Amino acid sequence: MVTIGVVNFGGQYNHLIKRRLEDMGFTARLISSIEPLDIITREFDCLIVSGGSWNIPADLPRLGNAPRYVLEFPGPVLGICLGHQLMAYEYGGVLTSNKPEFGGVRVTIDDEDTILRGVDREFTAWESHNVSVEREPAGFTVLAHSSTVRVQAMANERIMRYGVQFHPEVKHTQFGDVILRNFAELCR
Amino acid sequence: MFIPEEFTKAVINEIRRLEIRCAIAAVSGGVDSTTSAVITRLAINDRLIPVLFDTGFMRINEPTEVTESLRGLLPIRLIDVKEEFYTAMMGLSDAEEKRVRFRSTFYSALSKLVKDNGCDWLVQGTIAPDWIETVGGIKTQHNVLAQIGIETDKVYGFKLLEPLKELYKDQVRALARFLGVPASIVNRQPFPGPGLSIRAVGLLTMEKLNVVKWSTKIVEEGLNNLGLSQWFAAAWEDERVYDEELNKRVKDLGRGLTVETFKVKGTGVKGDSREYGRIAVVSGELNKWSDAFNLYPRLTYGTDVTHVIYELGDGGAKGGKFFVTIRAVTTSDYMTADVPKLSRGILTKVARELAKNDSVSSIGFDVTPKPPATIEFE
Repeated sequence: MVTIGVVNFGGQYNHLIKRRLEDMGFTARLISSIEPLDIITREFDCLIVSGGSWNIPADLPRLGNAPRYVLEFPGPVLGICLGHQLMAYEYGGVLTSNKPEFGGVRVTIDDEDTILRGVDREFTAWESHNVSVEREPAGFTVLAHSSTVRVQAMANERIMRYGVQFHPEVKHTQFGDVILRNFAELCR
Repeated sequence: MFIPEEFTKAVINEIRRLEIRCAIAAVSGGVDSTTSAVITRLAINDRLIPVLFDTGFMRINEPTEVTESLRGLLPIRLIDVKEEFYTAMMGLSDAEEKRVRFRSTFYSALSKLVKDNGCDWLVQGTIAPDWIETVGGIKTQHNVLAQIGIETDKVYGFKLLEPLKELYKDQVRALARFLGVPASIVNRQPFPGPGLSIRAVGLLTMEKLNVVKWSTKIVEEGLNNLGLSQWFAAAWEDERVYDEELNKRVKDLGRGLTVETFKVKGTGVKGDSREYGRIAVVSGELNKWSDAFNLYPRLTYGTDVTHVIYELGDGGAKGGKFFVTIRAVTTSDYMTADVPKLSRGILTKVARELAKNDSVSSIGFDVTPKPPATIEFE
């Protein structure tokens, strides 16, 4: 049985990620980022690192072992919102804090890759962020953009790292279920 | 996957394993509290005493209508606590202060009831978004105690039973249908715990509360059967300040648009953080009606504005002192919410009705989704 760990930074939608995955028939558990990496590695097939009110890099000390999960977890990792920013930062990308987006935003796909397969070229995604990714890390491909934010989704297929700035777990994001399922299927 | 039948069986078994002398269930007539009372009654029968508090902040005739519609399913005791709540809450202005005061008044009254009846448990309809928002510091939901470390048996003298606390609204509705809860309750739009006290935005007075009660009825009737998830009215003093910087942001969306901000503040949620910020109102002619729904990114990105209201006009109002806002959203789980693209015609019609109240100055429509706004204003 595939078990997906959802790293919980207290964001509003973290519990909703668990619910969506369970609705799809996967097993998901919320986990705290104080758990040591080896335990996380033993218990989970893949990880989702989601949102919270913290800013990167200022609040990095509050994220516990999450930076290590993002860099060293052997299986697939999906970063959502804060998790996406953390992933970009840890692999050497550049963040900015002056391009906020809230509510519904039109997102355009540049390269569908694995996680955006089956999604329309343009779709409405739900956002809630102040910080965003300005430049993707080396080795990552930009998968989608909006009129405000250039890196709405990114991937490094070789090391199984994926990031989305928007929230696929909320009902108002079109194709959100498709995106979560695409990732969850990688965990098998 | 959520299966109501299995969930019901599991919950009944769990409740029967608890030592319960008797339990009070606080029912508001909403689907969450009603369903948790119904499912608990299946487990402990008459050892459950369902009560409904008439706080004075419910809608016109609501307490008796709810009690009536649940006859047969739940023998509800209707308890009048209006005086206690009015004394505790009138004169408060800050959103969180209102919510926290409502909660303490609510639980003091419940605590007394539990003692008077020799009970030891309280059943309530807390669901996932309630504790997620409270724990996350977005807003204090009146029914969240255990999750923020309040030990209810020490403070209030009862243990807390929350059979639905992991569920979302759509799951609760499926469960309610399975348990035979009447459709009028299953489909009832959610109503905040502190009731209309938080829709009388800012300073809470009897006069403002009455405007809200009256306006709520008009909006509920005027926007009925449109497939909305929630639709209601809120009111506050029509006191505004012109804002030059905000005006520049919307210039191209119409001719002679004016942006002002109200003196009262409203609650929003931006980047997972609570924001208690300004409510902006845009007046003047838009290039096209659909631009009303493009106003909020301009005014909420990178500012402290949490709600954007498009002013529909005074509708012939006679210069009262309260601005009334029509709020309508679509959502399935209330974690995010979109603004329905209602026609200007239908809104204007409702606005004209609202203008008939002498206390009303002008009417607007809230065009902000959640996030960056919350569904309610406080």
